[in-house]
Amino acid sequence: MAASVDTTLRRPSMAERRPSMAERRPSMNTRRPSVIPHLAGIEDPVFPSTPEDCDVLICGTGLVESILSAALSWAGTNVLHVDSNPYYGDTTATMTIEQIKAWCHNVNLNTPGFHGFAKALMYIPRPAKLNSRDYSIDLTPRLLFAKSDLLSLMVKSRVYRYLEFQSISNFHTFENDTFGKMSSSKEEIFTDQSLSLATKRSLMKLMKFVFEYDSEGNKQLMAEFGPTPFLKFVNDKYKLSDAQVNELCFTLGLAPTPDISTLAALARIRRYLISFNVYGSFPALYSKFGGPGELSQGFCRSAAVAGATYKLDSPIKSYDPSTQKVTFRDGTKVNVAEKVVCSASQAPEGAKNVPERKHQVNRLITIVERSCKEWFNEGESASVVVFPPKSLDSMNNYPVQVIIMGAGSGCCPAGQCIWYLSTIEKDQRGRKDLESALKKMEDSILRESEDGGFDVDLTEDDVIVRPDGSLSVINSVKLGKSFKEFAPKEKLTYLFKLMFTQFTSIDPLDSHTGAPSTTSFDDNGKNSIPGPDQGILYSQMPSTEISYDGVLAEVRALYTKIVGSDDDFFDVDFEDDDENSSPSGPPAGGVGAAAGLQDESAIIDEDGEEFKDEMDFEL
Amino acid sequence: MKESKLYSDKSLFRTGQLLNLNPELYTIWNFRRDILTNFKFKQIPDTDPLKKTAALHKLIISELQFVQAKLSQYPKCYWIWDHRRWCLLNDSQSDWKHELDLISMFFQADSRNFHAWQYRRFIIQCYKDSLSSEDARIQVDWDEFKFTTKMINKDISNYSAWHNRSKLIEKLFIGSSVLKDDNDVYLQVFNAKDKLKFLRKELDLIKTAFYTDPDDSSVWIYLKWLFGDYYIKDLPKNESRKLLEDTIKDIDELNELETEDNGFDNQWCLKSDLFLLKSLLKLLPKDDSSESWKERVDTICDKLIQLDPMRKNKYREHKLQIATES
Repeated sequence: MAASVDTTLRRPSMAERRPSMAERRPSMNTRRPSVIPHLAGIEDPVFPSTPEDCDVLICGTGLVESILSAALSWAGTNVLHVDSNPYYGDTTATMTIEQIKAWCHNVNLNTPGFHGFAKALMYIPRPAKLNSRDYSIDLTPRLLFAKSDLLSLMVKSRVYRYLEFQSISNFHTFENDTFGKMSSSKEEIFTDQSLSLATKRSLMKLMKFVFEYDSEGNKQLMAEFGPTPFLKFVNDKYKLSDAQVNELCFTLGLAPTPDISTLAALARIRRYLISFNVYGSFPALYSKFGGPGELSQGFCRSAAVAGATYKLDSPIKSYDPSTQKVTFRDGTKVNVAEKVVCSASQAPEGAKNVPERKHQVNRLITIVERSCKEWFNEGESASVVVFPPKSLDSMNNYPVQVIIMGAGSGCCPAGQCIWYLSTIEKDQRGRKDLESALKKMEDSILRESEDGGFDVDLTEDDVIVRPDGSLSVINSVKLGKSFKEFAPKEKLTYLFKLMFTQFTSIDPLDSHTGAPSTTSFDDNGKNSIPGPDQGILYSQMPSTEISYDGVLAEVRALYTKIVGSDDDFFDVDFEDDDENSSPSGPPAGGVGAAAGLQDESAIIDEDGEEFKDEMDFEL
Repeated sequence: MKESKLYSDKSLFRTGQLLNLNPELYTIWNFRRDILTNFKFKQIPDTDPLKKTAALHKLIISELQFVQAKLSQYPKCYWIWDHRRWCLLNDSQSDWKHELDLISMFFQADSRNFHAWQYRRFIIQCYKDSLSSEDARIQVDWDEFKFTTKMINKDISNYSAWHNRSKLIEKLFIGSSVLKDDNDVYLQVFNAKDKLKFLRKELDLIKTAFYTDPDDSSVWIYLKWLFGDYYIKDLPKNESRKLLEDTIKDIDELNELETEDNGFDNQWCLKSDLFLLKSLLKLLPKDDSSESWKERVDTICDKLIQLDPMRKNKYREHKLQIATES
């Protein structure tokens, strides 16, 4: 009986899947059909059988594997890319409600193809209220910093054209029952009336140091303090409050642990600061309709353009390094001339060489019946909230990081919101921290929500007087403080709640650089133990990081293992077809970000629309 | 062609081609203006004065479009800005508001483009000249003053903004008091012509600025301007003295923090101190009370000789002056 449940769940009908990227953004309007092949073949393979030969076989369509597939294909390698699931994305998938239900079931049964996840706990109180296909839920939600290697690659490889990006500028820190936002630019520090002169000076000094810490003059200082804990370094050298240090380290830097070294923390804070104002006054972006799941589809699509063959629903059974043959579970065989790469989650049954996954991330995903627009900046539909260590009732040792996605992100219907909470705290302790953070968020949204029918009248205290004498209203989020006593009259309605643990080989301390841990790459099978997966090259499972940083470093490491070097990694001239044809206008809801990506030199001004064509600055 | 005064559509076209290649060729811009004045403008029939202005306006607009395209490519070329100015002055129907919009676009790309700031002053002057009432003209200056505040808040290192501010302050103190906005302290002091109160308020801003970035030269240079003759000579002696002493104290406090962190004095602090001390000494009676200040000058000079050896002789000269005076 269990088996029959298994198959029905493993094979949701095609009607159950999310609208694919190709359906959403047909490429035919802007491109010649000869360049991008019709995608029906990718979605629903029409090949009568799997090809008999390939250079590289990749199992799993997660983000790392998909970028690798595109990189190899564009370098002329004959790639066969398969996935044991009937959908794209593997460990980084973006799913509908029905898909995620099936996913939970498989995780708890420890089905091959779902390894690396554990203890999925799901709660859907009002199933009738959820129309499965209205949702895009990410297993590993991530943000894209405006200045990052992956974004550059997407621009270069033109993969960004398959996607829509939206800006995210609200990075809040939870402190004393309120969500604060820090002055992080020179302008904000200068005009912020709540900071003392000495604090302004200290903050600016630290900001400057963030940009200069790796300069020649600071070499000695960094040699001494680089490996020491950042929190101690800052407390010794700068006169800042704990709240400010927390914001810098955990919110701007998104540091996963208070043990972070000075060097790593500075690199992380710099990432935020240099990303600011690249495409506008926000540091990061995210892709609409889902995160890494959408990106991996984009790269798969790019790989297909370069000639890769795709086959879903094809679990592998074994690999024989002596004959270089892979056997699939349905019995078909493929000759692999070079290498087999496999996502750790899709390792064949009885695998002996899967890299050890000693790090954990615990995730809590909820959908609430609130727009949560109070937490978003004007014109945006997402924000980040970080609960620094010891800020929760559970006395959390590690920060809890939250990505909030509103309806505008295309991931849930209007009037609802998805909250993604995560922490690297392990097991029960981690789950307790997540619940504790969820409670705080619930209290906060009930207190601040306009939906709750609580009408806020501004008083004089709620207004900042700027140095020039002009008035401006405080960020509505800050109002939380003055209404602390406001007792929630109604409970928040949860529509969906999912908790699970994910394992990874990537150390959270390295997650922003993605330095591959040495144990996870076995050299040409020399050290591998005999078994059905002898000689297979494994990827490491998604890191604990909530940005895309580190992903590309892992891809490059895998690429180097296969090709010998990464010199020709995406070394392709994409300046091809439509150099002069203008894109079909900025995608809807792009909040300037998308427009910026399309044409970085266009300067758009409210009054100056007419100049757009003439203005062409060298910025 | 220029020497042979060959004014024709073809030569105009050629200048355009040349300027596309290199906009720095100012001779070509001159020649272009010659062609426009001596050929293009003369082509316009003289019959109906109304029609004539309209035709001229049209011609200038097309020329402005060319200029704008060039400016976008080369926002820091003197001759292009020059040419634009010439165009506008030759047209009786110039749209100053439009030019201001254009400038704000240049500021978006680079808020410290001093060409754009210079041009802005020119446009504002033209715009003010076109206004009939004195009230309206002062209002423009006041709006400009608020604009500099906005730009300084955005980036305290914007020296052009500080400079423009100093120019506007002079104008606002001269103008008659007509503006009303009860909430704005700055406006009140301008209306009351209260230089002392203004200076106090401005020093608060400066203090915030130099604490935010103690190494920013524009802030220190503006401070120097604030304590120039413009104010000092108008204020009662004891008030000037108090202001100077207070400011020196603020700077010294900052320098203490800086020295504590960096292990050496902040040069800008010392240099500003030196400047203020010299003004202060001028105000003080030549008795014993000035002695301690003189000693301060001496120590600061010694420190600066170490920190800024390029100008050591200047500081030695200061020391000598102080010594001879006493």
